[in-house]
Amino acid sequence: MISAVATRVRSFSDRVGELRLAFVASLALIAILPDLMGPFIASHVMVMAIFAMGYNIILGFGGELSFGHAAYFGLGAYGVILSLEHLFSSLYVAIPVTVVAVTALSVVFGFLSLRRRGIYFAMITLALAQLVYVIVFQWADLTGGSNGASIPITEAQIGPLAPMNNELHFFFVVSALFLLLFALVARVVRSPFGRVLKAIRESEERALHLGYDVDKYLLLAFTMSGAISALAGAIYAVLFVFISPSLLFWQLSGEVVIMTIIGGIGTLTGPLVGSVVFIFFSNTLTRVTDHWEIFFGLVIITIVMLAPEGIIGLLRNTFLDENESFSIRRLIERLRP
Amino acid sequence: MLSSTLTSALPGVVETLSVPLQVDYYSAQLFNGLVLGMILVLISLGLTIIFGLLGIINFAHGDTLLVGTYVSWTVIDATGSYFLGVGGAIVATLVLGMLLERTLLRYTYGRYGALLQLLLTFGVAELLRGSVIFVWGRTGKNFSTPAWGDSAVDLVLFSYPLYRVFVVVAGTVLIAAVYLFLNRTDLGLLIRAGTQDREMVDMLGIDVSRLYMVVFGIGAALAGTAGALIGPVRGAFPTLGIELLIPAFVVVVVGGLGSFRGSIVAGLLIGQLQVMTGVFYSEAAQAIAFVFMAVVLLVRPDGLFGAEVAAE
Repeated sequence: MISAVATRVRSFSDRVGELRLAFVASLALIAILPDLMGPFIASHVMVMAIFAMGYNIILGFGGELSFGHAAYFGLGAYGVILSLEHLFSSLYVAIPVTVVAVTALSVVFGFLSLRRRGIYFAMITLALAQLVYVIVFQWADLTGGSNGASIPITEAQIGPLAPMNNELHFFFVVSALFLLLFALVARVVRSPFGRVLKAIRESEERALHLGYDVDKYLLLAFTMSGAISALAGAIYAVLFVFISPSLLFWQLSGEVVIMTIIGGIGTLTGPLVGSVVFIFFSNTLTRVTDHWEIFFGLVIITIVMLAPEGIIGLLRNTFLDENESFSIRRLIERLRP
Repeated sequence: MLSSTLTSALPGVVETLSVPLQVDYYSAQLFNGLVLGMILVLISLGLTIIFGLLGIINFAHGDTLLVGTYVSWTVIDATGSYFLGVGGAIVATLVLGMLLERTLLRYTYGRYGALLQLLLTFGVAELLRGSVIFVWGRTGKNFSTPAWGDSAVDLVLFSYPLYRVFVVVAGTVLIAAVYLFLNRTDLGLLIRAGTQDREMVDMLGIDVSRLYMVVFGIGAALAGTAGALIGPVRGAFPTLGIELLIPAFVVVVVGGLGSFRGSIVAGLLIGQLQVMTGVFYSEAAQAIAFVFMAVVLLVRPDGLFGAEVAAE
């Protein structure tokens, strides 16, 4: 039964190309989201999907586990609010300026973190992110400290769409942005740069001996992922209006790793699927129980022990060519001490 | 909720700022730095010996400490004896550590890399914290100093609470005990050998997997002891573990993962640095450790004592 379906899926995928299949599947999933969860939560899912997609560049394609991406997400959110408060009146100036500024920071942090690899890299990214958290928390005059901050009322009409006033319009805009970034990331992953990145993921030593400046490639991947995370954070601030320093805390850094893993690291659709499942799951959990940490922990343990390839990885193993997921498995087995 | 910071580990820092420029004040602050440093050393030693043998960086270490704090609180509450509380915390976290190794981590060796093991311990950390909240509630517990620790000791230049002197002494004794265990016992010899070359030890007919369990248990118990020791200083609340784990990461990065000496030197250094920064510019007290780490990484990427690059 499964093998018969698998053959058909495989031949279909061969005909249309896996990338197109992924794109169409994502589009279909996005299309049913507002009906499934309501436009507000659907927008939340899309924001997290953008975040996870950015994160996936460094984890899934670069092969390095960052535990500090909440810093870029949170700074994106704070940056957009602070620049609207003090510098610009237009959202469409504030967002790009914020993203550029946070990207610059991610270059510095990336440079520092990439002095080491593997476990050290994870710990250093975590510590640097906590540094940002502490600063935002302490600098209460500017950031509001533990009270958080809220976005000033702004007009943000795009043609006929009014994303600030209409939740469904917001969802359209953020989905369009997601699809745009999806295409961009797909393009990057298939570019010569993306191929070198994959080579580094498979064997850093070999890539180094082939003459590639490994640090530079990884830094570029890290920066891209920081930039996309910052953009996601900026949109998050617009969506939720109110933000608190917990956006910069390591909890969120962990959550984006989990989202990416649930969906499937190193895949294009994985981050979207992961954030759909994660947001649905966490919303349901917080509604039905006060003790979501226990279930969250159990879910992480279950996924890591049983299905580290994630949903897309599992589907791929079942239905598609094994080749691509082979490299994912390599990534999972990598960094063995 | 997360506002309590490492410097508030040592209440009194901010209040006493109004009477600066006194020898006794500064020497008391030096001692505060020593207390924090001792706690950080104990936590990082656990992280480091687990990493040394198993190659795992244990994200659940902070929440193991949390279990230690709460168990000691409960035992003290029930029996009135502080030392029974510490004993309870040690036993509980030792068993917890060995159980974790047997039931979960065991299945990851050889199958998964450090990346997934790290995520697994992240899940365990959530589970442990969730369970602590489930059992003891989300609001903190007031952890009173044992009666004998309330008095102040006259240390010539200044007088200092007896309990904190006890923390420093107990920390020193524990560190010495771990050192002696690793360097003077047969089991310690095996652990050190395993840290250098696991396969070789395995091939010599020694049950490495049992060694793993013991080491994970000892590491967890070190965290649990630190948790019991810091209870009366900080009180018990659910985010205590996370708050102490992150500076401990900084300590192991600065000291060099897997380096016993590095953990001690870096732990004491960072404890001192944080408290002293708190004295002169309290806003920067938390940030200083991270800044220090960044500087060390720029100058010596392997950490102060890390020659071996085991994790890469």
